Amino acid sequence: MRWLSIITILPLTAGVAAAALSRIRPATGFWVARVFLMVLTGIILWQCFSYQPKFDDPKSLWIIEEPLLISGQWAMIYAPAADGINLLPALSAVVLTTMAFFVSTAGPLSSMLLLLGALSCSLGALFAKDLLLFIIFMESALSLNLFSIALKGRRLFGAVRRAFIMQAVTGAPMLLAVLAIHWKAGGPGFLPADLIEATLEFSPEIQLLLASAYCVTLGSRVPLVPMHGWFMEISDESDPASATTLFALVSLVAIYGFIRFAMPMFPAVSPVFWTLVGAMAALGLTHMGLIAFFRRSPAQILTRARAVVASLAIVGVVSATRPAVAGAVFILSTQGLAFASVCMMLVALDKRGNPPPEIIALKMPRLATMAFIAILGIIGLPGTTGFVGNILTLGGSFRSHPVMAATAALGMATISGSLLTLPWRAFGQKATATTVQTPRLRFEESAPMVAILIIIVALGVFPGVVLSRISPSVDRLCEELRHRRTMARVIEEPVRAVEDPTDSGANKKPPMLLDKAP
Amino acid sequence: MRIIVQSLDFDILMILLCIVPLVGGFLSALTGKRDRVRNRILRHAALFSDIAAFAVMALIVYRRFHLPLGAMQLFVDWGNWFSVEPLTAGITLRMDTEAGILCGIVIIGTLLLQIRNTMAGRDPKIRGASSVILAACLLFILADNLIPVFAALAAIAPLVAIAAMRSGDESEIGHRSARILLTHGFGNAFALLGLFCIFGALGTLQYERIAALAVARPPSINEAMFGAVLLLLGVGLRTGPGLLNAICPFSATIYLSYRLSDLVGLIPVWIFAVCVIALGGWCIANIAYSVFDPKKTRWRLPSLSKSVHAGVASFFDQYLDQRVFRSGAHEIIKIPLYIGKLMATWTTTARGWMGIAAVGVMIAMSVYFKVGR
Repeated sequence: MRWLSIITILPLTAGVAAAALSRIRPATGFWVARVFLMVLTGIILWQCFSYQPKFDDPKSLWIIEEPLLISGQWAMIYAPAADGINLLPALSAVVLTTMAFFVSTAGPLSSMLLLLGALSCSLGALFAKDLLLFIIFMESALSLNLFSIALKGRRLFGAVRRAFIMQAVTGAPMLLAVLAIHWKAGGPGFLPADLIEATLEFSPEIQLLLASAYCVTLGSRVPLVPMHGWFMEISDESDPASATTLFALVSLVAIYGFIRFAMPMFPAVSPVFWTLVGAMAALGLTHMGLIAFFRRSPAQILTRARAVVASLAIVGVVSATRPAVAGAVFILSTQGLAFASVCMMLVALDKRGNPPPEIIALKMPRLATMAFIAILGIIGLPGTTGFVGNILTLGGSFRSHPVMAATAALGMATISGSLLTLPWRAFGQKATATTVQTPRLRFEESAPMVAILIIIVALGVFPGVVLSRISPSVDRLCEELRHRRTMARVIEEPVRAVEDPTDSGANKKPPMLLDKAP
Repeated sequence: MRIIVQSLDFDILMILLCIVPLVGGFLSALTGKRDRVRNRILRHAALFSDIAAFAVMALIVYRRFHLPLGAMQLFVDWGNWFSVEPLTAGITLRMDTEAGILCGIVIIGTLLLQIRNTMAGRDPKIRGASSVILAACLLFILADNLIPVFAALAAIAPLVAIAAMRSGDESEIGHRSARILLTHGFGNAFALLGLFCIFGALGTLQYERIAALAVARPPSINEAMFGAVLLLLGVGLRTGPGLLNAICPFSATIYLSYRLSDLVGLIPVWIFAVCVIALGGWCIANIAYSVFDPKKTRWRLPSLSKSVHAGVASFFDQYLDQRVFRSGAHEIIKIPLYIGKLMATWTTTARGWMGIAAVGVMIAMSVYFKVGR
């Protein structure tokens, strides 16, 4: 048996088991799903910290070299592989989905089943080595998430329909690009290692076009400005728990796609292109921070803050320096926890009729304190996970792209303002509580929040626990990137020399291949 | 040549110096509302921790008398907080004579503040915040790497906001705290950019290495200088309720200038003077607003507004009004208390002037030293 396969299938199994059990006792289904998810979390934790996995190690336990579904030229090889870059984000996805189950029992059981299916797909996408499988899993995760949201109420149908249309429109470019590269390669399978050589056979303009196609698909799922509208709309329309899972399962996978597939697949594409993508993320981050400042709804502010953090991770990824990429993976692995905590607080307040701030401070001081710490964790209070992620990402990207990092830093300051005013500006805006009688937090509400806060602070004080798992994989990835760029330069330079032998600059390092990374 | 002392007893003392106020502050913040023994003890945890910090500082000073005289440094290395090469956040504390004097001033000042808070029966959350601010200030003074220095700076903002939230006009607390956090947020962004500029130019964030590279004048020294300017502006661009919060950022800027003196010394005089005057003006505006206009409910100065209205004067007024004149105390007691109130008003006003004078002196000294170089 393969652990990664088990991990991938477990949520779906949990959903089916829960659905079957809920026929007998409705409440049992949710508890079964929660227990399954906690078991899954335990397995991934064990995998994360028992030894250091390597993504491309052929001796790894998890490689299954059997073609899946189709054989021949169109073989999709299901070869789940893990290392520090995808294992910890997978853990984060599972934890956040578990938290969503703890806080939200709204919606029919089929919605829950779909959500667990989406989690399975996300894990499949995170562990997939095959590019086509990655796309299929990512799109399936998004579709199942959207179906899950649609089942929660008829009022969401319109937004979900628009989201499906946008998914089809924005998802097509990457799929077409992958098929084009596969057609050029002519060989079996969709493993990136095989496809990359075919990519280099395209002219630079076509390579740029293919890279743009990747960025459109992945960027619209991160979401990056200006491709963010539909993602923001569906997140705003759905309840906080659904928005959390949408970001945890789709946005996380898309950022991972940038790290694992988009950047290494196009080594010869000009760094200027990636800088432009990073600049777009940095400017979008600032834009989103300003937009959040004028929003009144706490859920909307939180959604924008999530998009800002995701954009910050993209800034780190495209910088391609070791601290920046490590920071981006750290953000992927840990930052969702603080959002989940605030989300749980919003759900708890919603159940109590959204009491005004003074009532929250008076009657629920512990909740107010936890909310304050979680918000500070998002914006990077020292001693929380946010600080480490922000410093590494911004510090790492500043060395190679100073203007981009500076813009991102100012954007983070803007979103800090929005988030810090969140408790006072937003809570109580839609107050429905008529009296000051607010029921106390139940154990099952407060326990996950406290657990998350402990994790946030513990990982903020001792980030080495996570960074030690991430760093070796990031080092390998950055080394691989550098190596591929060098190879691309070697392939390209003789061609230039032959084209123009009199050009004295032919033997110089092409500016687009200058490696700014230290 | 500086003598660096590294021994177990100093390690323990330095660790205690930073940890004790932090723990005391958190314990004080946990105080409940009921009148229980536990809450009575927790309420005074911050004061006790500050007294303990004072005692530890006294021990360090006493211990130093047994070492060779001269400009010696006490040095504690706790390894790395986090590290992804080349970005490393080392937790190294270094106490030399100047840092020791500053630590003493900060500890004594906070201790006096805690005594006043205890006498006035102020909210334990404020006491806790003051104690944690002390811990952050000590880290700021002692840290040898700019990332812990920035961490200390960034940690102070929410603590000042908590203190502001718990005092002053109830109806405006949210806005005041939010604006404090916003001002500090932009200060942090500037400081962060400065820090990254220095790191990008010199590849290190450690004071000694920065100094060594600044002396060597590498080609990227201009970027590093620009980073230093941004960092100093970021440290100074802060505000908060009360005089301490108005003066402290400027003092912190001067201290950081001293620490980065080799790099700051390369900044052209006119840029330096503009920065000093801008920060001095900011500081004077803070002080003037907190002293002369303590109860205004509208913002009169950019980014200051209500954040500074809960000054010391208003505190004394409220305290005397609520605790004495409305409690029906004995008539005889009222006479000295009236005098006390009068004295408090005078003191507050005089303190404001002293603050302005102090800032003026600091500006003059900064410019003098700068030009003198």
